[in-house]
Amino acid sequence: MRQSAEGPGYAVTPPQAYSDNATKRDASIAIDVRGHITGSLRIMTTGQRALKWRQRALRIDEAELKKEYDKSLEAIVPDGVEAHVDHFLGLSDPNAILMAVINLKGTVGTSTSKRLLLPAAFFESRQHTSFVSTEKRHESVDMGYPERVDESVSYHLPEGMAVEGAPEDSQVPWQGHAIYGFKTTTRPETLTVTRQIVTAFTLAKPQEYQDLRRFYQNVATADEQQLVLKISTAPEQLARGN
Amino acid sequence: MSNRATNPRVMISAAIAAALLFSAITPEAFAKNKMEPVPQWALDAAKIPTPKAARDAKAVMLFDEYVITLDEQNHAVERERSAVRILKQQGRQYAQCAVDYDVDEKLNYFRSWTLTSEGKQFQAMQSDFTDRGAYTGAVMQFTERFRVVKPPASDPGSVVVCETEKHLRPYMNEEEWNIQSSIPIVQEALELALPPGGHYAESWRKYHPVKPIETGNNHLRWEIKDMPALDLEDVNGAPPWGALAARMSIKWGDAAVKGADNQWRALGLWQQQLEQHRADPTPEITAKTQQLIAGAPDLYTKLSRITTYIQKNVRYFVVMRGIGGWQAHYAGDIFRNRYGDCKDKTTLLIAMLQAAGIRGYYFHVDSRRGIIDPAAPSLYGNHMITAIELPDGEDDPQLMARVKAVNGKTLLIFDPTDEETPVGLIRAQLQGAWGNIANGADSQVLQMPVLSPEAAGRVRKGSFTLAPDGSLTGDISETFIGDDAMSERMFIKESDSKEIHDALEDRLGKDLTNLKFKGFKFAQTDDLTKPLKLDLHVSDSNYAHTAGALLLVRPRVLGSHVRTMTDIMQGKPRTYAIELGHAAHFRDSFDIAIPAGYVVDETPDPVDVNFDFASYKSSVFVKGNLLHYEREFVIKDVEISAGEASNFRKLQSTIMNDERSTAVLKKP
Repeated sequence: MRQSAEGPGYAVTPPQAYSDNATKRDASIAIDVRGHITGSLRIMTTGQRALKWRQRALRIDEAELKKEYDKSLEAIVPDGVEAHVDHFLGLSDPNAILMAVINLKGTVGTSTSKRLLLPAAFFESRQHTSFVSTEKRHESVDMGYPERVDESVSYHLPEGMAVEGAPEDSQVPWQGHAIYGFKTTTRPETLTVTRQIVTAFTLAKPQEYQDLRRFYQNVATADEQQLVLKISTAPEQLARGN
Repeated sequence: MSNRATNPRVMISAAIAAALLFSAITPEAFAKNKMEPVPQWALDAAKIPTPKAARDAKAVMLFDEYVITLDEQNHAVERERSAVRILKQQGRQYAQCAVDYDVDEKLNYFRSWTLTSEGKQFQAMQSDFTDRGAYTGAVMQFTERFRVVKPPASDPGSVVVCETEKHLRPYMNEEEWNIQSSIPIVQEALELALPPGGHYAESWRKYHPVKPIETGNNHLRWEIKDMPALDLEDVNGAPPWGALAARMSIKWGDAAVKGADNQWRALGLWQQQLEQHRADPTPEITAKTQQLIAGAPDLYTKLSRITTYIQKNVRYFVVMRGIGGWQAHYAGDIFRNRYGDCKDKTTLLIAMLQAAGIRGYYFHVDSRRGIIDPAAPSLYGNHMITAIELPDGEDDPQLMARVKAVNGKTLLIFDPTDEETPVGLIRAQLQGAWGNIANGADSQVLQMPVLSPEAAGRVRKGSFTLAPDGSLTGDISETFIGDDAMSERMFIKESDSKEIHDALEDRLGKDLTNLKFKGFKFAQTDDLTKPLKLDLHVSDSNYAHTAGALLLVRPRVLGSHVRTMTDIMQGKPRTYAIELGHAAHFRDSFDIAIPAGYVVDETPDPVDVNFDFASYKSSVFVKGNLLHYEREFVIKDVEISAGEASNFRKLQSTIMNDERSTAVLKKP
């Protein structure tokens, strides 16, 4: 209900576009042959996610906010990786992009004697619950808001390490609703993985449930893939400095 | 005092309950609608500066004082005065004060004021107070309530003061002084005003005993300054908060005896006297018992038949009123009504054991390990279980949960309220914990045993076929024993078939992203003496992944022993013990038939680590066209010291790396 020049009446709040709620995660990571990493991550948000953190900042101080943000990062960085917020930018300015500058360290992936295998999707490698199958859906699926998430992870490779196998670049479209993209780019000493997921809807109708599930199953499959890095110098030799 | 060890229990009609509840609050207990001046003690407390050590805290307790005044019948009135300064936005929650009251515990008054940093003063009015039941749960009927105030203007910088006075339960001779909180405390005190000729006893836990000051004739005051916070918010895997917190127990009347052993004995005698004749078997109980044990070839069978009868036929239902929080109903009533709480179930079990010629005793425990401390005798505890006296020489290996009493008798510990753990075993939370047996002059505190790893665990076997497109199909069989069977049986009991299906699907889906859950079947669910079995049938349309010409397969198809322990994994300094759960032996064995046209190029290295508290080993090898994975994980204890944190970290890192390790297949 709202009051207007014509008197009180019903009104519908305007829908948001996916571009109104954007998250960009940029990581730059130095990695060694055993998978030990150090690096930095910047997470830039606008829209609903930024609003959530800004509202939280009204109830707790910044030290506590960093702690809570660190906790939220535990759910998205791979097992064995620590992520700690160094500082925020734009926290108190609702018109600015909210940026969290984060330090990364730890161990990622799994190694064999000849290879290092890394999760293709750095931010999706944690064990998570699969999208269970439901034959009939009676209610719409509420996504909260439309959103766009862009990720870019650049691995800086040491001498003696090269890409042996990488998942094919892929796109998963759900016409009119969502799109997912995954791409790897190899340059000497750098491997960059980019991932994008756009959901351009708030509610999926019950009859769209199977399409929704299929889309997220395909996304999960793509995210589960691995990057294979070949180690031409044995880790022991590198450790000895040979 | 705020964290009580005891709770009154009653069964009454709604009308009587309403009348009794009304009588439990005097008109004075209701806050006024006109502001009263802030009392001098509160003005003084608000002037106490925040110590340097507390400046990073969310809030600080500036002052907390209890005064217990006893009359000549040892009936007590307790007054509490407290003052909390809110230091941060997230500290507002500490502004709330609460007091519990009941039919036997009349609340005289409850007042609260706020003194802001700008010098303004507010008093909480009637609308700022709420009353609510002390417990939730469909299996409880009780009269105890909490009165809670949400003080106005409780912002950072403000000091919130509260003042309450109530009559303590007339039949209790003990109070717990919880001297530690999750925020720092600057000044705290307990005063005890004894009647002429009255005496007291005290016991301290996790804090050096403080000498009282005699402030008057038979009037004693204990004071503590600068108590640090016990904040476990960011500590993973810690023992329960109450197991680590400092506390003092003050006793008067008959409970006031000197020395820990004597105090435990006095508590046992009090409990025994309270339950006198409650566990006497009626002719109906005797007849039923004789029917149950007829033809039983040995003691284990007799015990199993009696305990199973109680587990399956006596519904758990709590009625709490007054002394009923401590005193059981009569065995005959429990047997006839077929319901009761933990004391009632123990009472009926003792009666049935007696009818079978076996002695049983009340054994007062807490369901959280570490709460009861042998060095600090008190009535702290929340549960009643049974100690069963075994005949000399009884050595049946199924009767594992044994302890030796000082009188030389061997006792078998059993919890009749636990409907999923068979006689002979006790669940993990009780293992290694202490309890007090009520056995006349032989009453004593006893530690329950930590059972062998072979008493619990799971064996999981899986057989799978991998197709060239990466899809996987297979069958899994799981066998659970001990505590692991108990938790599965509880899950089955509390869920309908759809909930079981969904929960299993959810569990499997954590490892199989594109899971198609084809079916499951549990077997041996009802007979607690047998292992529980589960068969699962699954497929995953995208289990293995290609990377160029390679096919990547995770040999550990499902199941995880990784625990989320962020602070330990990040190497933060550890002060508190680490809870391991329960001693158990887990074995996994998976065979994956690899697709034609592929060979195994690389398998993960074997893993073998061994610590005093746990061991883990795994290996992957190729047998013909099968990729075989097997692992064994043994947890040998229920808890380890903080000093073992680095070994625990090594263990968890090893498990984490093993669980995500990958075998590489390629076309020759």
